[in-house]
Amino acid sequence: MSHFGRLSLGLGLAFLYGPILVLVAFSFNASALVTVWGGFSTRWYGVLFADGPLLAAALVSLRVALAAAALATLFGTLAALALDRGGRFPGRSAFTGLLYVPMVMPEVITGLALLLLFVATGFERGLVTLVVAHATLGLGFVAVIVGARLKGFDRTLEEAAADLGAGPLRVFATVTLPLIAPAVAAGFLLAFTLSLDDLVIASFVAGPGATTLPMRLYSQVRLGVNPEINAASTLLVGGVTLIVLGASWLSARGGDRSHAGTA
Amino acid sequence: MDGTDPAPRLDLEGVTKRFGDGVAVADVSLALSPGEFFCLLGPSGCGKSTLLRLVAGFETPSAGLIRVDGRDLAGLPPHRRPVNMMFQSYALFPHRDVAGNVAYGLTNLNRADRAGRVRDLLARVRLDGFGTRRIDTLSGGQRQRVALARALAREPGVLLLDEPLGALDRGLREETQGELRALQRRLGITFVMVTHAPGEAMALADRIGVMDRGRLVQVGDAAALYERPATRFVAGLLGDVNLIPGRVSGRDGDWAVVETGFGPVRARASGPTPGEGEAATLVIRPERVGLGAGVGPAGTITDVTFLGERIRRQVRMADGTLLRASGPAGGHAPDPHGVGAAIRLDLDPEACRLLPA
Amino acid sequence: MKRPARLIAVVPALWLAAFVLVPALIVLKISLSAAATAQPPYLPVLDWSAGPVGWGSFLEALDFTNFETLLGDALYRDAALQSLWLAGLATLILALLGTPLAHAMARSPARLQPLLVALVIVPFWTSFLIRIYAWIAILKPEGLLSAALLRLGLIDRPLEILGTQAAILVGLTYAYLPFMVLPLYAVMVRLDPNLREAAADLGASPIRVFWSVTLPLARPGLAAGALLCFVPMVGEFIIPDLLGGSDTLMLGRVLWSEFFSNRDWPLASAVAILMLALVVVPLVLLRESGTPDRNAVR
Repeated sequence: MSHFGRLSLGLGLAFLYGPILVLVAFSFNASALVTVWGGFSTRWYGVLFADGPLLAAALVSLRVALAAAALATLFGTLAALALDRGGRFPGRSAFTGLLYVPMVMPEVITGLALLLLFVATGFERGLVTLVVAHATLGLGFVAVIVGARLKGFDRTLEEAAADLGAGPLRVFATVTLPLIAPAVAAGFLLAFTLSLDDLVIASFVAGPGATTLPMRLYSQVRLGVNPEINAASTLLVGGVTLIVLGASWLSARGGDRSHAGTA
Repeated sequence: MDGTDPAPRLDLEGVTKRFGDGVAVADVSLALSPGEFFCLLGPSGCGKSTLLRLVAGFETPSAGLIRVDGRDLAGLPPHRRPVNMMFQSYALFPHRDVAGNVAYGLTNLNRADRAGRVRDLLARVRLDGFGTRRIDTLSGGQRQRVALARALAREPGVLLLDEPLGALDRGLREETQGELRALQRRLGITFVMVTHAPGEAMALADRIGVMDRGRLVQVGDAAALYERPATRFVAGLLGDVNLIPGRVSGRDGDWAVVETGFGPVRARASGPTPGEGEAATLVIRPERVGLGAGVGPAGTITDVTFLGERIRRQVRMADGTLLRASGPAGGHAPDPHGVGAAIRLDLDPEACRLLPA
Repeated sequence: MKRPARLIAVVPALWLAAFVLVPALIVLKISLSAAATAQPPYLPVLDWSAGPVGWGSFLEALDFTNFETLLGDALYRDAALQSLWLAGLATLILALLGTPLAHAMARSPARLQPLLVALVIVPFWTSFLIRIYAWIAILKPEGLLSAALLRLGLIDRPLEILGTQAAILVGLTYAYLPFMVLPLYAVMVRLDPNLREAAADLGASPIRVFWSVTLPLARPGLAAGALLCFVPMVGEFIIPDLLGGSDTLMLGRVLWSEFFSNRDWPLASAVAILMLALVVVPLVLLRESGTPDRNAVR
């Protein structure tokens, strides 16, 4: 690689990681001031774990993210299967369009639109509306990830299974599903983090009853830099890093070696 | 076809498959006896793989009947058909080990019987002890044998093999040919094998069916196809051949005289062949073109190629027609037929065949 | 296999119709209703049970006041222009920064590439809010950047970056860099290395190889990256809200404050429709310019 290439990589990664590392470092700062290093301390983590409303919001976020990711994974996988296997069915391009819209649409629009729907139908806002909104947001991402896997799928494997006497359901359960499982899992993780991360849509659809972690963090962040938020951020970043590493491990494992002999 | 067989195992009647405007398989009729090794031979795109997929049930025929032991397969999905297929890519399940692949079709057996059957099958393809190996740790030849064992597990009446040797190295291919043939003999299963390699078809098959642009143009054993090709396509497919244009100047039952650029040649004319006065093609294999000093048509040797056990010579006839003649490489004696030598052709009428132009 | 697959589509299709299509239509409808009738608690403007008659009176009741307000008021015009300007400028910066980075990734040793891709993806999966929040600590006058520059003697009083358009640009560039780099990388890594070698063999310098071979062939990636960045940036809320000052108005923020502060739902809906119109145009343009190249790469 050229020197220029190395320099680009180094600067690019420094730019991406610098601010995050600053946060992490200052979450261990005994001083409450950003520019002053007051020595190593975990006191802000203590403050964090004593912050009842914040922990409650985190619990709401986790519950919503799990449910939304499960729904998004189910529907997204179904959508990917339909697009891959359905040929040219009527309404196919409209279906694809609807699938991609939430992925590129500015979040304020998605949030506003869903809120107006819930108000128009008289649906009470709360955990359920959060789950619905986040499932809609994640659906397209799951469909794209699973769809990519299906595109590279060797269809003769399914034919071979059918040839050996397996009916369509057994073919799906014993051949198709095990082979796309890594992508399905990766899709679930992405939908999960998207839900966990969302502030804008949640602010619209959550209603007064439910407060998610980003909503709680946002209300504090607006007041300025706060070491407790640094500690919360560090935990979130660490968690997400673990999830991403898990996901890339899953997809690497899924390359052509997954789920050894279940005979 | 050789007539006296009992009820056919696999019976195709007017099978046709159209894709959009194109015809992949056109009106193919064929009857295979139990225990027959049949090869479908043709270049890529001739429809041979589509025909195989029609029998397996992955495609639905546009017209025609497919029967196994007299039972019409129409409407039966692949998983209910009494045939099995060995895929060109082998299509081994990467998420199952060798035993898991071989056992996949054995859903009717209990666990213990299944394990025993898998062991038998693996032994049959000389893969004893490979049951717990992962597919991605196997060599190409081993994968080929796992695919074979898996396809044989359900004891199909007919086994369909799509280029089963295509992915193997040349040396391994020849060795595997012998094993495949021996296995088929021992099991007595009807094999239908698709291949584009004439040598493979001739080495393995009881009968060969040559396909050209969707049509089954000729069916017969290797010798019949080689010696008595029905079309120029078949003649050219099964080895080197001289194709000489001419016009039929006389006919006498199964014999004809063809007027070529270098004089009249007597030739066999059986089946639907051109009548007197019509344009025709004279077909003769290079090894049947004799070189002598007799009274045949005159020519000059223009090129000599040493091929090891054979020598191939190019002969320019009086009218400029170029013919190839091939003969055994002659020991130490000085070659009397070097470049520039004037010779006379010795064309055995039995070896010369008349075909449509 | 095709028929059951199509039946499978019914469930997600119904979901998408209910939660993407219908809400969009509602936004459109409310943007066209008078503020008075659409103020919360708001009235069902379209009475489905009234049938065609209801449709007729519904059409009569359509009201373009909100759009007149939007287009007539300099505040909203400026917000729209500023959104487009900042998103456009940020897209350009992203292309300039992202291209060398993606190029360097694509030319890295093959065994390093999965790691590099993961390194670019991790921040994208990390909380957006937190990543933007991190910049507050860096950019504020008593923050790290000022402190560092002061200590180095490069400046003699704290920087006033936070609250300016520059801060928004930094935030946009930072947050959307992965969206630019990944599509570019995806295209560049698939380019046949023989093409570069052929160009070099024909006497092209590395720079000329890049300009004459790599970059033209990577255009679909650039188009995809620009699309993925530009559209959400136009509607961005968190970045202008946390890093921008009170004078920087972007459409996403206008929508937010019309909705949450002024409680003017019809006007907020009209802003949403305006924003959609603004992003749909470049979307279509980019798609059209991207398509032929994509075929050429294959």
